[in-house]
Amino acid sequence: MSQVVGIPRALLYYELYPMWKAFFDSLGVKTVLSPPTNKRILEDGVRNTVDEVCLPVKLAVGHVFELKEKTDYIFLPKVISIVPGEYNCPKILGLPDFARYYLTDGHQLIDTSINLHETRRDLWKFFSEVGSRLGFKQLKTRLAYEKARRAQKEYNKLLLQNNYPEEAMDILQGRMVERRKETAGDINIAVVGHSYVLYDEYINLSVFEKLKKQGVNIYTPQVLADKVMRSETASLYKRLYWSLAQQVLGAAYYYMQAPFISGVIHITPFGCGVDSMIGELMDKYVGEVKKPFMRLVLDEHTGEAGFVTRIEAFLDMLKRRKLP
Amino acid sequence: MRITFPHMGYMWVCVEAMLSYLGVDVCVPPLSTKRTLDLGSKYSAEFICMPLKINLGNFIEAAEKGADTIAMAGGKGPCRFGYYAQIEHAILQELGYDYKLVVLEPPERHIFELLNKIRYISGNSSWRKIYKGIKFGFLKARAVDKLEEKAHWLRPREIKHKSTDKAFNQALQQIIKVKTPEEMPAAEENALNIMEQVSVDEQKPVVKVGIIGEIYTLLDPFSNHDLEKQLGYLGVEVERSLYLSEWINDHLLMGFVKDMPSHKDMVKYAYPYTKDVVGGHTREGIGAAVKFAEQGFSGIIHILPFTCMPEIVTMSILPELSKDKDIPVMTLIMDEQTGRAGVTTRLEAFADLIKRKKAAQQNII
Ligand code: SF4
Ligand code: SF4
Repeated sequence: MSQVVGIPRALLYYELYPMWKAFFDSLGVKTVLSPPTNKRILEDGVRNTVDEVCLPVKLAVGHVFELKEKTDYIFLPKVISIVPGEYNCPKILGLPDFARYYLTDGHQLIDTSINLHETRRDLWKFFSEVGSRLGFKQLKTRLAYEKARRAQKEYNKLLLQNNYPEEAMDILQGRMVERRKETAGDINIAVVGHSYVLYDEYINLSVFEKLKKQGVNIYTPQVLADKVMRSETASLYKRLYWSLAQQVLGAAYYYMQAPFISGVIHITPFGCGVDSMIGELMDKYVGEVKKPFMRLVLDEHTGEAGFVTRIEAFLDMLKRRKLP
Repeated sequence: MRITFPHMGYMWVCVEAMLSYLGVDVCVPPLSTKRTLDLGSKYSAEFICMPLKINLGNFIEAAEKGADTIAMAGGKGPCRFGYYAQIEHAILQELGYDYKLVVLEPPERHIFELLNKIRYISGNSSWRKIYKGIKFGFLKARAVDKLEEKAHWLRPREIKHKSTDKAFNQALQQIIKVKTPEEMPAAEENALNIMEQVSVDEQKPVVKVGIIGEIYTLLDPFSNHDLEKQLGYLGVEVERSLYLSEWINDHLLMGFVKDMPSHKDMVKYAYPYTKDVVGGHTREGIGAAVKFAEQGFSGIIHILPFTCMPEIVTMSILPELSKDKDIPVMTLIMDEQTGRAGVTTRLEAFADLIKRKKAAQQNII
């Protein structure tokens, strides 16, 4: 079978790609990943979505566009819930419903729902549906599913060892990676936000590079164990029902108390509904712990110059504070 | 314990009825005004959706009237509403308001979860009384919905400008003043009679528009700048995708009342566009839009608050639906900066457009 499945390098790619990839590899299905975000992808995304959609979702549409000429299928599952009792953002849920319109005839979208809201066991349901959609027998799909789960576990472990998502993916696939050269900086800063914002350099104007150049050691939510972040949000009056927000808020809480962290930066897309809510909770906590904090709001019009100025001003302030 | 709750259109009529009947000391917040929204916007983040801002303003204004406990509905996601109560409470605390919070979470398994909370607020009334109280509130919601539906039909056909509004307000008073469930049937008949008195021109050509969107801006005339009235004056008969009593039945009573439209029917119409959970009322809205189009409506208006997550999905699907069904769609995004004049201009232009389109079609035939 020579079917090619395209996978967009967007949104939950940063969380779940190793699982998808291992699954298709095991079935012998060829996959193509869209390239890192570039100007054309951004423009395609902006042109083919309504203005009100947030930048990460616009980019996802751009990535779908990028893949449509090169593949038979595009893998864009409707990721409703990945943790029992929790959900994803409605825009992520709705994406396959409108991304569909940009595909040409004969081109197929794999938009199977993955919904673990009731139980984790429904993960099999998802994979078995995808498997049969591509014409595989249950048994073969089952094997692929087991491999997929193992790959995901490995991946999560690698993240905790301070590998950035794409480095961890490379290691998993046996590609040699040169360890990121971490020059020990003189100041520790936590950068929190959705993974598809923190690790897409094109969206965030290479914020990590910029910080490192200024001698900053960066701490992200991804190096914290899920358990740690969850215990931070456990004291909330009600369970936070967005899984990705758990990470962001949990990490923000954790780093705000951590003595070795000098300041916290929250990067958020313009108009993000989820962040508007956890932002309120973050701000309240900032008031209590008095840790320096900055929020950077990003959209497709964010200019490099203003962005750099704000980062520099924040760092200056931190450095001044550190002096006796 | 002096209980208050947030405003959403005429919801207060039904909530006040239920709580007063159960002997609760109720404090209805002053009706939402610009001040309410300004207060709420001042104390919440920019990208928070507008209904939360209005709720917050309601609570600040209710505190000025002595309220000390908030009762409101909750939710389990994925849209923001399920976390409203908690965020609002956190903001109020920070501002120094000492509110107690009771959240009526939609029951997950059994309606008793909800009944228990209501029983708690009511100071342990008997179950029989609680049942009657809920029914009373529900009857009021349904009566008001009927009046609104009636007004939708009358307004574009009224002979004297604003005579429908006048009758509606009088009729509404009939419903508001009722103190016991037993008096409801008579009051409802009375109220509908008042509406019947409006003189109309039945021959007048009207166009029909379906309104879909986010529940708050859909049901709350303050936050949508009297959308339905404005359309009515322009000779447009409107139908809404959602009514308060339907929402209460689906969301809080788990579909307990059987003989009314349910969201389950609506989502089936949405199938060609979206099959699974999105959140908010996306599926219901899309389903309603399909239904309106199939019933020959001339246009669809989609309304949502700025940054509303599920409705942005709806908005992204609508262009395709509009093409498929050849039906004009207009989207209105509301926030604290939206001016009434701007809304009026856009509604006039839309009404014009669909009237012309309809006339052109009739000429061809
Ligand atoms: S969580 Fe925020 S950034 Fe992510 S899709 Fe939803 S609105 Fe967009
Ligand atoms: S439906 Fe939209 S406006 Fe209403 S709470 Fe949810 S996100 Fe906010």
